[in-house]
Amino acid sequence: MLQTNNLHIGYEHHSVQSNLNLQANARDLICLTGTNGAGKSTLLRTLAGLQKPLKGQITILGKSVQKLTNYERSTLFSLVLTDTIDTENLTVHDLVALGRFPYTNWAGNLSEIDEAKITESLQQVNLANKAHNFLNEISDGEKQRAVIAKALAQDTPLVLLDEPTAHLDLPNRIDIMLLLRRLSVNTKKTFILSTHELDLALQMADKIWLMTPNGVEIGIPEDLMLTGKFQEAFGSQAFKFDEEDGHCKINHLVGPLQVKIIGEKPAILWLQRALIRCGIQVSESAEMTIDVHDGIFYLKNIEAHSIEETLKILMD
Amino acid sequence: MNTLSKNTLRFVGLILLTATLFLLDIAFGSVRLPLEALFSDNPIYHEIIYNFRLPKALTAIITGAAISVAGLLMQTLFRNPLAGPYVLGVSSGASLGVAIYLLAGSFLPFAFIQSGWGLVISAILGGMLVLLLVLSISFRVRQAVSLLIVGIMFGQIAGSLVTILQNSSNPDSLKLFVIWTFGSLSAVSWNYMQVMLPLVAIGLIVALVIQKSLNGLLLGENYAQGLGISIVRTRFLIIVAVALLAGTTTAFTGPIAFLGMAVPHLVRGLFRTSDHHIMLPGTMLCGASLLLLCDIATQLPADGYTLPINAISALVGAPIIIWIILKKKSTS
Repeated sequence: MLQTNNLHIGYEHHSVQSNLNLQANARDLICLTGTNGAGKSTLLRTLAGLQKPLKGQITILGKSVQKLTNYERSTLFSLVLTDTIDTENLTVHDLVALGRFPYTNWAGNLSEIDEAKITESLQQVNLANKAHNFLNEISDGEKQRAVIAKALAQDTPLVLLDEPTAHLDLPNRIDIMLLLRRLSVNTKKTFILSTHELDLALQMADKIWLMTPNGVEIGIPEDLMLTGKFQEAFGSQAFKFDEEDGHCKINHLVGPLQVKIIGEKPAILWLQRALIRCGIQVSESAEMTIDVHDGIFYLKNIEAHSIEETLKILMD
Repeated sequence: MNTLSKNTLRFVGLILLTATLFLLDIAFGSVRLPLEALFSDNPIYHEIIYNFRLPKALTAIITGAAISVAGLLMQTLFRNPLAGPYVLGVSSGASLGVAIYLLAGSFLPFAFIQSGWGLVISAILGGMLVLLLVLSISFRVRQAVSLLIVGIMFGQIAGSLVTILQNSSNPDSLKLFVIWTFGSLSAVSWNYMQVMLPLVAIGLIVALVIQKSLNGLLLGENYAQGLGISIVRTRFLIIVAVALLAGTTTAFTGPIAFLGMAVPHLVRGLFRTSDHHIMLPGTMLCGASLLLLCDIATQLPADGYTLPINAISALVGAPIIIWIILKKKSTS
């Protein structure tokens, strides 16, 4: 569906990535991720036609993107950008209606088909009840869903999203990712999004384009984890990806103190986290033992009633 | 449907308001006329009404509509609420043209200076020069805000040149120049109207033709491009329209301060929309009635003495802008 051949991206005096051969299929949810400066936004902007490639080809449905007219491009790609939309007096409906831009007449009048599409798009993002609210009256999460509805109304096989979850709180970030996951299945569109949310990307993406300073690694999340590509791209002295669950773990500084913990779950798990965070090693062979049962922590012949108290006693 | 009929009502209200102010503007003037003068055959009344007050009131309508639409176009292009019809340096360019003509043009034949066309032509040339410079730069810069800065800088350069000319000119021509900067709606005779009206009409038509792209620009240039809008072409058409609207009217009436910036805000508040389908006609009507109101206000001292329109429009426009900023603070 979308394909790049030997694509070089960057700016006039500064090449960002070269020789990219990427491919996206219908229904794909592709997460574009990588460290800052690796070229996520540049690649998205180039795919979207907002920026010229330095070299190489981008083809969509067999057509070269560089040869498309503005109109043709607007029927193939729709965009969700990080640009703020702060227009006064713009309703959610009017914003989504602008997605119909390529299909309306010279005056921009909406036909019945356009109105039906707008309603459908608003329903797909669960925002139908806010259609006549002004943009400054809804939350940031709802605003992002409205912009996604605009992209859906544009009725394009491909949707490009630049950091759609930035500036949102955790429930909204998950909400947006789940929404995109659902949309890619239901609408058969291809979604390509750049994101810094590694945990979410690993759990939701069909495919990851992992951008590193040395090129782009392509694969499904699990393969990239298994082959250690993530660790290579992001890993540092400070943290590593857990080999069992894929979550990133911070490498804490470790002090000389060692303790052994026994007792009931989940108390010992959280206690272990707290100890590691404070630089205390947890070891089977340690002399000091913390025994946990019935919610009470026993150590040095003292009873502590919370992890915080336990830590205080240890530190003394 | 409900908002549609509400808007229709508002438009009817605005049309009635404009019509009333139009009649009032004809009825009031530096010479007091009895009401029946409007329909009398007295040649003096006829002369005053048909050759003086009628063209003046029409000029108020045309100019008010033109500079307000120009202000709206600039606010949409730059996505900046403080943009106005003159941000690209049109009025500074026009005043430079007029200054060169009046202050340095003593070598021109006297009859040409007297004719009045010289003033108009030099204002048009000055305004056009600045806009052509801005236009040529508009193809080179990516960001609209850079264009805004370039426009302001050209305006500054023109302003400095005017100051230098003023400094080295004789008091008589200086006075003529200062009077031009006061602005005057009464300088537009039927002869001038034949030139001004078609030029402004073309500008308004260009604005109406690109209304769909203007709505797309509300989301910013990147989103607009994503919707298939050619930024360079739309920008070009906007600048051409502004040149026709603000450039032409400034040439004939002198600069009219603040109105073009304030009116679009009033209309946005009145109709609670940013949609150019409604904004464009709304701005035309609101701008026309506000300038008519200003013109009526200039006649307040009465009996042979009128106030400069440029001062009145600033007195009306500037408080509107302050009010809008305070209102925005309280809602956000």
